[in-house]
Amino acid sequence: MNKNLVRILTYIKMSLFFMVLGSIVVYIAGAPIASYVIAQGNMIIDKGAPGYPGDSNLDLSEPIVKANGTLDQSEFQIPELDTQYGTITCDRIALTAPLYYGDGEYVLQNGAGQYSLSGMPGEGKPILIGGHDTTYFAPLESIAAGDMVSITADYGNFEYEVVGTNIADVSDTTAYDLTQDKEQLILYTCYPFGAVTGDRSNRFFVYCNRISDTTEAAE
Amino acid sequence: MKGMVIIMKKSILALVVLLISLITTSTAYAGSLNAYESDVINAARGQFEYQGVLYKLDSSYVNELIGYLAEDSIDLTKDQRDAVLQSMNDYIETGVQEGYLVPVQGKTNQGNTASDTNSTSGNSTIDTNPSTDNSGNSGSENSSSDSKDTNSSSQEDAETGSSNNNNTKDSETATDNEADPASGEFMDGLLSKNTESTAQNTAAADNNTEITNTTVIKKTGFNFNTTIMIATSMGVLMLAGIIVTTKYKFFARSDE
Repeated sequence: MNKNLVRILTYIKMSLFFMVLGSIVVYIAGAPIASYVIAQGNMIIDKGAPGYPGDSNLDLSEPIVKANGTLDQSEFQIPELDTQYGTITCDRIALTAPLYYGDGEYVLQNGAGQYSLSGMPGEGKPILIGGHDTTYFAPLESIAAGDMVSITADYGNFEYEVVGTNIADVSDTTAYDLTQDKEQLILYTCYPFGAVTGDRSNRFFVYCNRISDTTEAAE
Repeated sequence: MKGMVIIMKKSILALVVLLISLITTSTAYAGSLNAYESDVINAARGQFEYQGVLYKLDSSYVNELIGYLAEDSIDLTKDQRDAVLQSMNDYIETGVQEGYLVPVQGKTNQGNTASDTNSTSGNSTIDTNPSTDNSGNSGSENSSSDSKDTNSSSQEDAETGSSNNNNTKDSETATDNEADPASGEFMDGLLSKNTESTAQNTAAADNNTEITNTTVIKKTGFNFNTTIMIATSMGVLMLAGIIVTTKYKFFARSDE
């Protein structure tokens, strides 16, 4: 084969090799930053119009929260995975986050995610909700016992009082109890707050007990 | 000169290996549900028609299904999803007879439910095309009550709910609900024929066995460690390249 042709082919092969290699490097190195930027952007956009889009599959034609604050189980329907069904707020620390059913990566970029095997607000079971420490759950750094946390769902409003906080390793299953018989709201996020490097295996837990609710559906 | 070329090649090879290992570790999102698994869950939350009566799956079994599909080792494909949906259809009669499909109060199939399961004279089928499963969310001709019938399951009464409270709940191996031998058969029917992890599936399906979900607490923080490591590595490599190139005059003209 002509030497010039071999040389040209070598140039092409090396160019392709480094182009692919460079793309892989950019993807791996850039993905965490892109994810962070997307989450921050989503929060900025949402802050302008907190609330939920109303595309939940719940039918609100009949009240499903009884006068005693429990759900009418025969009427209540579990939301679809990864759909927003409410908003979680704590006025004192300026916490406002869209609340989604499910807690996958997409959800956590857009708000707070409820672990789908935990209970729904009003169901009388523990509710486990996670959120990013640099976006929606950043205000949790200032939360303290006695603060009021509200969940405004599209089927009712629910109020909880913070009774304690805890820092535990991500693998520490004693930090939460999803088998207990009372409706305890458990919020968690990464700890320390705002860090983006180093060990991220700790979680900050906030425990809240339910104190009241209303029978009126939000909006 | 030749030695330097070999060293450079080895460096590049090492970098490629490092990158490949990073890719394989960074793309494994534990405990997530893919689109096909979501389709199965949505179908399980829907309603089933048998002999003109609408039934729904007991919510405890829906939770069990979610817990199972959320396991790291389970990753349904499109074909598997279709097969699972088909087998759900096959088990409707069994489900009704054995009691894990419960009638929806006051609901009989009028032939117009949004989820419309393509039923014909008592023989229900499940549409294996998930796009029709979601029709209740957007179609303008669907009334609100129609959409209510789609893609979701009503939970049983409070007592039932609490009795199943321990079912598939947390990372601390929750014991399956103690009753109902139909549960094992049902899960077998739904899943074991269609997934590769038969052994695990059987374990999840059997009564009084343990279901473990190790991904209760999710990654709720951003981590730039990988980015910094790669950037540093690239910087070091670039610096080494500059030094070597300068020292050995790789790009110098012959008269320099």
